[in-house]
Amino acid sequence: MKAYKIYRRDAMITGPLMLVMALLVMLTLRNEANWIYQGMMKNSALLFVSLIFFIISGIALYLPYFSKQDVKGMPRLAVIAIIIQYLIGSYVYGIAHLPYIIYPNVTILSGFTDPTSFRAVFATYIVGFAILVPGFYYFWSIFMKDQRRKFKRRQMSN
Amino acid sequence: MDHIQMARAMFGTNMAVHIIFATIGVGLPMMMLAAELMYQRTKDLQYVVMAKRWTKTLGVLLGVGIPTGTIAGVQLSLLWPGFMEVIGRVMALPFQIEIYAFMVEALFMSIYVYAAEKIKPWARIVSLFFVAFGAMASAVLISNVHAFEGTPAGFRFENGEIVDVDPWAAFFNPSFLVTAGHTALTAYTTGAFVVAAVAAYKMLKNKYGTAEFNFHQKALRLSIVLGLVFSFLTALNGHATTQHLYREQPEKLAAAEGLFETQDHAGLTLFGYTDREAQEVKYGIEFPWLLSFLSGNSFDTVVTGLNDFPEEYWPPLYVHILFNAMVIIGSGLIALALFALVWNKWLKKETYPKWVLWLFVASGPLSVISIECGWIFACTGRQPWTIYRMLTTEDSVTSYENLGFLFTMFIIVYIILCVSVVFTLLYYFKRHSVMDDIYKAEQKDVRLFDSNS
Amino acid sequence: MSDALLAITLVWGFIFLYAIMASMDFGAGFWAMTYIKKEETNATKIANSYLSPTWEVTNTFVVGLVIAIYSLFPGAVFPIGVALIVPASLILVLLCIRSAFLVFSHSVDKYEKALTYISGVTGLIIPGLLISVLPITHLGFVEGMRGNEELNLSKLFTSPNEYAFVGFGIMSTLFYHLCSCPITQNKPMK
Repeated sequence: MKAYKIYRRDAMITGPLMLVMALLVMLTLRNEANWIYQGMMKNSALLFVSLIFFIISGIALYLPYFSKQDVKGMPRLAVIAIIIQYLIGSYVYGIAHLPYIIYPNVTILSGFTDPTSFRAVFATYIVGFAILVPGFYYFWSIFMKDQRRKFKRRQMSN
Repeated sequence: MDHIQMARAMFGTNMAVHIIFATIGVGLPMMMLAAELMYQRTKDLQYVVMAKRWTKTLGVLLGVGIPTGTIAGVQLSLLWPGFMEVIGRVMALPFQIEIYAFMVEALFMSIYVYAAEKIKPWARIVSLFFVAFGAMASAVLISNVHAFEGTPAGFRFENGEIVDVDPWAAFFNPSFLVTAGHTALTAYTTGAFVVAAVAAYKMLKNKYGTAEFNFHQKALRLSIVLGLVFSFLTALNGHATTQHLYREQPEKLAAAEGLFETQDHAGLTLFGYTDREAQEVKYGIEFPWLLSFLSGNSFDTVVTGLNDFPEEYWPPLYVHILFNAMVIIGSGLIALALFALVWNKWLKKETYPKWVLWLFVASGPLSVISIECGWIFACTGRQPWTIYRMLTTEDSVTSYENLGFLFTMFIIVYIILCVSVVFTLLYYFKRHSVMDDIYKAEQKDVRLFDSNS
Repeated sequence: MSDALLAITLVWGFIFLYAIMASMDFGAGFWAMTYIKKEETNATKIANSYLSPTWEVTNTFVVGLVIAIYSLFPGAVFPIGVALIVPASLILVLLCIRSAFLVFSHSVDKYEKALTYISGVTGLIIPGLLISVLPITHLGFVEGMRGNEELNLSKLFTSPNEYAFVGFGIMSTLFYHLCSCPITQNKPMK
């Protein structure tokens, strides 16, 4: 349990720092790349939702601090919340970035590949992922079982 | 060095390092599969030990192979954006599929290593088969891009725009099969001879008749048989490749042979160097009529000489030396393996004489040198084009000028990697001797593959 | 949805996935270095063992991402290639050293300490470099005519936005890793 506490202590430092950095990013964007700042602000409601998820993950991590009982905290919820937060953030940035890939030189239309090539490439994505995803799932389950067994062994020998 | 040469040197250095690890990375899984199959046939545990030690070696080599491959993949678009723009539009499929092939390899490799003792023998062989298949498929697919550069298909330029794109026609371009086959076969040959070199060296260092000596002799015998098969197939394929060159990139063939005048009954010159002023190969040994015969299966075949092409289309003339080195080493490998096999099977000799073993020790590095020569020949022989008669190297290169610093940085990294990979292998195998592994294999309930390998 | 929009969604999806995977990987490296002195925590060991199986996939994902970009948006290759040649080369060099020593340290225990420092330092620098790609794409510092583009480095280095992004990238890598760690660590103890 000690390791978990150390992780949590450091998360308490890096989490707020990350939030500060995110605010700095928005602030500097407004000055230097107003076009994308305006685009992101169109979805300011979503940015707010993303902030809420960030706070949820913080609460999930620090639950033990808020109660006197021996509560373990909810690391799983914290991860899910943080990934959702991340997903929303990158969606807002991504949408605002369109149609440019590189501002102002290349847009998605000017850079786009030949339609026949696109169809062929897209087909390989579908086939490739249909083969690989189950394969990796299988491997991951073997591997995780292995890790857990090793961990148990280490715990017992301590 | 001007800008283009710097970019070429930079990318060439990367490929020169990567290709060593990539080639062995394709060849070794084939050897591992062979060892596992031998175990199923003979039930001799030493073959499992062999497969295990080769797996470990492969794991360490991949530590350089994968990162340098990553560099190659990314550096292509950094150094040759003009080229990759065309490739992206027309020839993206092989790169795309190669990623999956590699993932398949990585996936089954992990299953083979992590689950080796937990799965049935047939499942182990199946997973190993997919490791070998994935490795081979990656090599074949990447060589396909190289084939496309020599024999482009599936698109046209119209007023500088790419039109009529047919990605599958580009994929199955005319020299796909011979070129990709050449890469796969030479990789297997190299894999076999690299193993042979290590085994022969260990036999020289151990006393005749000791268990360790016998272990390495088994490895040597296995690699001799496979080495002979694949080096012979390489020769057949090499012949087909030459005929493709004759039809599709005649100036490359002419430069490889140092042929200036178009002629029938053209001779094949071994050794020597091509003299631009004298328009001939100096200090070479000429075999009359042979080139015509090799190019078109008859002595009347007219082989086009360099003088029929504008001089700015000529590849650099030193490719003659590279081509020769590749062919001579290749033929030498066949002869060596054939001799060893006859010595062992028909003359019924128990073991090999010392000088043969020393030749085998040399065969490993030589086959790697041959691979290097082959690649440099194939790529410089295509100059001044990146895509033959479609796109020049000049139009492919980045407009970024200060490559010198980056180049130095990469060279330092390659040196660090090459030194530490050798150190790692020596260190590990010094501490994990063959005898330990055999002992472990004979004890039941001891995991032969530790989960870290 | 138009094809181009579908394609950019795919690319952005890959970038997102990579960012998650890379955060775990790079964060693990940095924290392992920080915790190296705290033996009683076991945290170093946990972080280190967590590294190993992901590296091959993460490494290949880089190539997959680059391939996705140039096969779906070949028209962007030239400006991207020119703009990113310096940061991408630095990333490549660091990634290369990091991955190689990750592998070597499994066979040579002597390397373990070196690895901890290498993966720790690169775990901090690489995310910073990776995320600096974003400001390059939106700040408009890629100048010059088509086929002759150039990245204006002095403008980039004096841009507060660039530094804000780098700081954000590093902090989020460290934070996401810390969030995800306890999961793998708690489960076996139950």
